[in-house]
Amino acid sequence: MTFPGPDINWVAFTPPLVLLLTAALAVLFALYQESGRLTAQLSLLGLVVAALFNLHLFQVVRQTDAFTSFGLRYLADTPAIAFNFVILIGTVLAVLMSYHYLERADLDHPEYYPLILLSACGAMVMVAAGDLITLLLGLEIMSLAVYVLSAWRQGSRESEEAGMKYFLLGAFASAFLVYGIALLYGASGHFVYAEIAAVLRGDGFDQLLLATLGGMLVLAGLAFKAALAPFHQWAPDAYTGAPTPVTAFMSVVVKAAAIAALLRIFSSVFPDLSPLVGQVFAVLVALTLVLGNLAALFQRGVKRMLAYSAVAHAGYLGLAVLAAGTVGTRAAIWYLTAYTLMNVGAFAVLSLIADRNDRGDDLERFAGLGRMKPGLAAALTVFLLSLAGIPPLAGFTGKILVFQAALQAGYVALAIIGIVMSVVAVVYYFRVVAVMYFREPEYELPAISSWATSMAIVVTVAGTVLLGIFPGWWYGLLQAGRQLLAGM
Amino acid sequence: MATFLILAVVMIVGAVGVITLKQPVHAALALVGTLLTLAVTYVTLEAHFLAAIQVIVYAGAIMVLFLFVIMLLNIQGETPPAVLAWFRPLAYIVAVVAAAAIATTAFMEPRSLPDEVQIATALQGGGVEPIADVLFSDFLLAFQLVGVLLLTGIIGAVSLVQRKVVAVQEARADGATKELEHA
Amino acid sequence: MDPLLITLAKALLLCLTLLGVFAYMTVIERRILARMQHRLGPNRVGPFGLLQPIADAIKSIFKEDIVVSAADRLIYFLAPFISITFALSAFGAIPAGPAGSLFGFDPWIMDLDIGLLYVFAATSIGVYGIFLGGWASNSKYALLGSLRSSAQLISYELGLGFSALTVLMIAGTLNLREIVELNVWSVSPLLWLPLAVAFFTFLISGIAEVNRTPFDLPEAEQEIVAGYLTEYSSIKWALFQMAEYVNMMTAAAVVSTLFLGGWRGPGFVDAFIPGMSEWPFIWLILKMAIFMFLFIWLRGTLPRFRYDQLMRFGWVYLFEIALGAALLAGAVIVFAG
Repeated sequence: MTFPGPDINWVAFTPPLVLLLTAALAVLFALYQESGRLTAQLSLLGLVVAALFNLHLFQVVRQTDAFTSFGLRYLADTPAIAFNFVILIGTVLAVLMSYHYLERADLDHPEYYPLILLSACGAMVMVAAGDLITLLLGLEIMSLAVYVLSAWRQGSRESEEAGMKYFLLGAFASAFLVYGIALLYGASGHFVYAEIAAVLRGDGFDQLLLATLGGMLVLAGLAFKAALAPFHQWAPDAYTGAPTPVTAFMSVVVKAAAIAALLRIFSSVFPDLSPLVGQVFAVLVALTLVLGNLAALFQRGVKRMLAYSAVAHAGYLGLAVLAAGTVGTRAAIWYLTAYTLMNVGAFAVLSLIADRNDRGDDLERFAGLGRMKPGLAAALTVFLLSLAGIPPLAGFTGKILVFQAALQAGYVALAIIGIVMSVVAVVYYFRVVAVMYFREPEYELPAISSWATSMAIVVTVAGTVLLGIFPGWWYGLLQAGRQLLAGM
Repeated sequence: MATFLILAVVMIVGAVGVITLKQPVHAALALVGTLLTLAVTYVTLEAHFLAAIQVIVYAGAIMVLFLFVIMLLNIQGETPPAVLAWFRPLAYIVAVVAAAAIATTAFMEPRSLPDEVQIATALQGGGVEPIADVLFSDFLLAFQLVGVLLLTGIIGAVSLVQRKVVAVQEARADGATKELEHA
Repeated sequence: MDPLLITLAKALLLCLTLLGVFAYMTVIERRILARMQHRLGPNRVGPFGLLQPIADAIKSIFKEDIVVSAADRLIYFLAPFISITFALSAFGAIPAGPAGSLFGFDPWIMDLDIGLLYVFAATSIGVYGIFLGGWASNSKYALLGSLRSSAQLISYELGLGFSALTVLMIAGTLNLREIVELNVWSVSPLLWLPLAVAFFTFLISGIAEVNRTPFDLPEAEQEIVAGYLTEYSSIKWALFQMAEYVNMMTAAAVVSTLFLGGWRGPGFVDAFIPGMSEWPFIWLILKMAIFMFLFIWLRGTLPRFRYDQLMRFGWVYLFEIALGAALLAGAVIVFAG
């Protein structure tokens, strides 16, 4: 018995495949290893190898113009590779943050790193998915690992609540997604984006309402993962309750994958649906911008403030998604790169200031940090200013790019809301900076030193600053190669 | 058509039972009923393999585990105190709107079935081979990814459950829970 | 004649036969066990105790039916019927002879392309009978019994499935009639090892699936009275017993069909009477009888597993061995087939 084998381009798969293999190895490793340190080192090695393969893939894609595997089900185009880099950076930083954190917090269980790697692997699959089934499976692989990771601190009510809430609501959102996929398939008879789009565009297609309904449900499912209002309810609790490195990981990697999936769908399937889908998404983005920023304004805890700020940043990314297919994709990737660096950086600093159970992240604790720990305070200032979008840091260029994309796509009102809300955001970011430098110290801070976390902070500071000063380099790379995403 | 209508009614009654019955075991059984009716529907559509798998996997394995957990935890049908009073009506409204949207779509864009010959060629008797053909060609990637998904699930579940064992052992070392642990 | 009518008639015939055999199996089992334990066993009613089942039937029907007052009425009543219905229907896919050998009709009820899966599906629903019966009785022993049974059935289904997989890969079909016609042992001598291993794992898993000694923990009388049966009496109790014996017969028939050539006889008998190996019914019944005797023999010989041993044996040994056999068979088919 022989089957007509699909065309498999193994090179296209190498980055997620390396992560999968490393995870499998790490699990076996964990059988004989009490401490997670060796597993962590193995994971770092795997991540570096995956990054090298990703680089290789990038070279290949530049030469061959387009790279697919399994028909059009797996698309390794320039945006996918760029997203892979973002995911890899986010994962490396999360692993570095966890390196000493886990021991300190007594959470050092050997399955931690394999789960992070599997989650990143799922995110990469999701980013490269060219059909709805692959998208769904990538999303589930990614999410399942993160559900477990956010409940990692067992015995703590916040962490267990985070895991439980995220899991239940995530399953609910997946149900939406699956239902949407089923309806889209029912309307078009295809799973692959390009084929669905072809059917939708074709003559005599009379199932537009059904397809649009399906599209809406898919949108709802993905909006949940990207934490867009009103599907953001889980985010603040999950982000606050999860161990800080996990929070950092999910706030960047999960968001990146969800935004990537939205970008792909918005540039292939959705343009041919009823314009209602775009309008609904625009409303979601506006809601996210307003709710995220206003809610962040009223938070006492810095971690929770950062959680709401992560919601708000999903809104900015949503602006870029609305312009998907044109400049939006590049803007989104650029923004995500910057966001990954500054957001993980902020959480890394937080993990050195809060106590071992992530308690004590309230604003008072940061008072006088500028005097007690000038290095950490300076780094946090850089991250917060960048998150607020102050030039010449990376966040500023990112905001410019997404606003530009939204304006080009004709969403003027949304761009204005975004700009107004960025001004609001300055208030809550600056409040922390002000407390750090203009108030007397009130608390004795724990003496935590971790070279791994420090390394993550140094890397993210350097990245945030350099990316802000030289924005053209990364943007230039994003333009290389053909983008299957945009024009099929 | 008459068969389908009967099956559809049974399925809907089962589905409604799942969300309205107070006793969790009854709700789970209603779900089993729905799943079995779905399997019968597959049989009427000549999709035999799918029907058998539906019964073995959903009714025979997953739902048994559901019931297992319900029985093990001895959950009784208690209504939890309503924390958010407005939540329930809101949920009803959302559900009704969603159902109405889907129903409207279904009635506004009715669809004619492909002709019998086409269906028969696509199904090829509904056995294993046509499904295997598609699974190992078109959906090979998805098929493999499901494996990764299950691996992730297993690692996740084990990592969360194993923790408890450690905790219990620690407790035993303190002499706190000595007698009861003999597992 | 209307094919549906024929099928119904055959189904009715099969049910009656299975129930009749059940009645006598109880006597045979008690007699054999008695012999093994140097006792006489039931020998009062009729010659050699042959009328004992009739006496038992009359007793079960007319005995007072005690219903636990705190039971979940509907499910309590439903459970035995679920058990017996699916036990009986599982047998329907098993062929008992070559086509047209039952007075011109086919000696099977359904010739399904997914035959084996059908048997698995029917037995997996049959679990609900035991499971729900135990729960609905609202008694701790019954509940423990049903929890045990569900855990055990799910655990051993894996070993069962993977052992069957070996045969399926070799046969390339799920249709039980075609599996018998092919004779899996004739494919290649290289496959004998995985087939032999799979035969034993399948047999063991099968015994566990029908809750027979040494896997009869769901009704371990020394620990949990009678497990899920504790609160059942009279005819409902008899229905559960019937389901158990019918399941045993199904297991014996499936093992014979998958691994031992089903309704076919050994080839050498054709030397005595030409065509004898093609006779319907007789060979299948003979093979089933051997396995039924084996089940009884085991009950008379082996002690019961402890619960943790049961789980460890299923998950750590049986499953891995069955998986290994399936992998080996797959490797042989791919590289040497």
